[in-house]
Amino acid sequence: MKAFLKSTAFRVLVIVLLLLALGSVLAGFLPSGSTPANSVVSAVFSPLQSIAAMAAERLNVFALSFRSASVLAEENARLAEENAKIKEELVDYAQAKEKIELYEAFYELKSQNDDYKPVAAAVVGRAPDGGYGVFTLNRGTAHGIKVGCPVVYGKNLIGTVAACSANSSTVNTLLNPELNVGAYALNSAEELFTTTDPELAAQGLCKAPGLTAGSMLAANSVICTSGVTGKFPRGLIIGTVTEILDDPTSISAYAVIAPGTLIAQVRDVIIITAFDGMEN
Amino acid sequence: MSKSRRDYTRPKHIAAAAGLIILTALLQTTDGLFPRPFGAAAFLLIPAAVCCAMFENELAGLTYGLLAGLLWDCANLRLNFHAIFLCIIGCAVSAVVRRKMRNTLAAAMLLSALALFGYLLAAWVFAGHTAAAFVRFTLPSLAYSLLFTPLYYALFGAISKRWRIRMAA
Repeated sequence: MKAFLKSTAFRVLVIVLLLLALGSVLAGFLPSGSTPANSVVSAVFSPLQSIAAMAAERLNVFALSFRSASVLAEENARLAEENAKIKEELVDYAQAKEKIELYEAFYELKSQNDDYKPVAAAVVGRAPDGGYGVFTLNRGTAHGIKVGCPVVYGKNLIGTVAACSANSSTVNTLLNPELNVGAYALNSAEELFTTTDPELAAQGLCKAPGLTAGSMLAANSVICTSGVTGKFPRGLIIGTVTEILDDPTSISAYAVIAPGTLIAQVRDVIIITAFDGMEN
Repeated sequence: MSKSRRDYTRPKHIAAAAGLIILTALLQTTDGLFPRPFGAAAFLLIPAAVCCAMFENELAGLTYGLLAGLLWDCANLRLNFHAIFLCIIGCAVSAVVRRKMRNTLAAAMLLSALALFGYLLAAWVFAGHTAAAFVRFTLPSLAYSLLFTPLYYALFGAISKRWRIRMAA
């Protein structure tokens, strides 16, 4: 043990750990929100990740085709080939349909809000443990993305860009307890804010705490962004109230909210890089 | 063994080990590329860093751990957390194997299990998840990730053996 503590390797370890810790502190002051080491590594790694994401999609197609072909080959080789081809086209069609739905919804939103500057992005990575729904996108500062840009799917808010490098960015979702969003209820115009806690986040839910006895909020109320903080544009859908529960830690109640999109399954998103009233 | 022979084979060794770690990082962090049976996630970079360090000296173990950690950090918000964690694991595993333990598969399983348990326990505590999440996600993920230790032990062992045999020739 003493020999190890006196070794060069131990000294190098201490220096590397200090540099990494310093990088973490620096990240808080840098506009990219990521550490210098991370920015360098992600510049090289994110293109590889994009290729791997494409390969993952191709593998899904292959698995689908192979399964069908192996069954049908016993009956008719020609039919199996035809069937596999149709299935490949179906997967392409499903993916294209999903993208068109996203763009249609965003086009509608854009036509109502000319001030939005959108950038389409694909999800290329996710934290393996769920990590409050955190995911990585294949667009970064080179595409006009900066920390704090809202991320949407159609008209539904998903989260905000938390860190970005030249060609990738990391998204902090509504399922992260650290993300608070100024909001209002569509039916009652009641002002509130949304957040979550680890238990609700694990179920894919958020909440609007601090409801008083006079609150008009009820199940099925739609909650939208209020836009008062300048971090999100007004009118994006956060989700729908599923139930109102008493808060065990205070005398108020809170509303449980199901986000408008299944954040864990989203594959393509839109990043809003600018909008009227955006906080600089 | 001549010095020039050693220098000739070393870059291949580094490229193979680093390549395997990059491939592992891609498998772990790319959405939908690696299967998740019953919701359990494979934290492949931990057994990879452990097994790699078992065949290296402390400095190299630290460097490969740093590489694995930085690649992992690209996929989430934990600023350098994984780089710090895997740096320590890489250096510590190498030091333990060189001084206290024999380099065997059983040792690899034990060290991987300890590293995985330490990481997953810390992740569970800091995330504030419930006891049910520990049983449903943390433990299955630990077992699932541990399954790949023999594979990584064999791969890094083969990388090390291949170039060491050449060096001795």
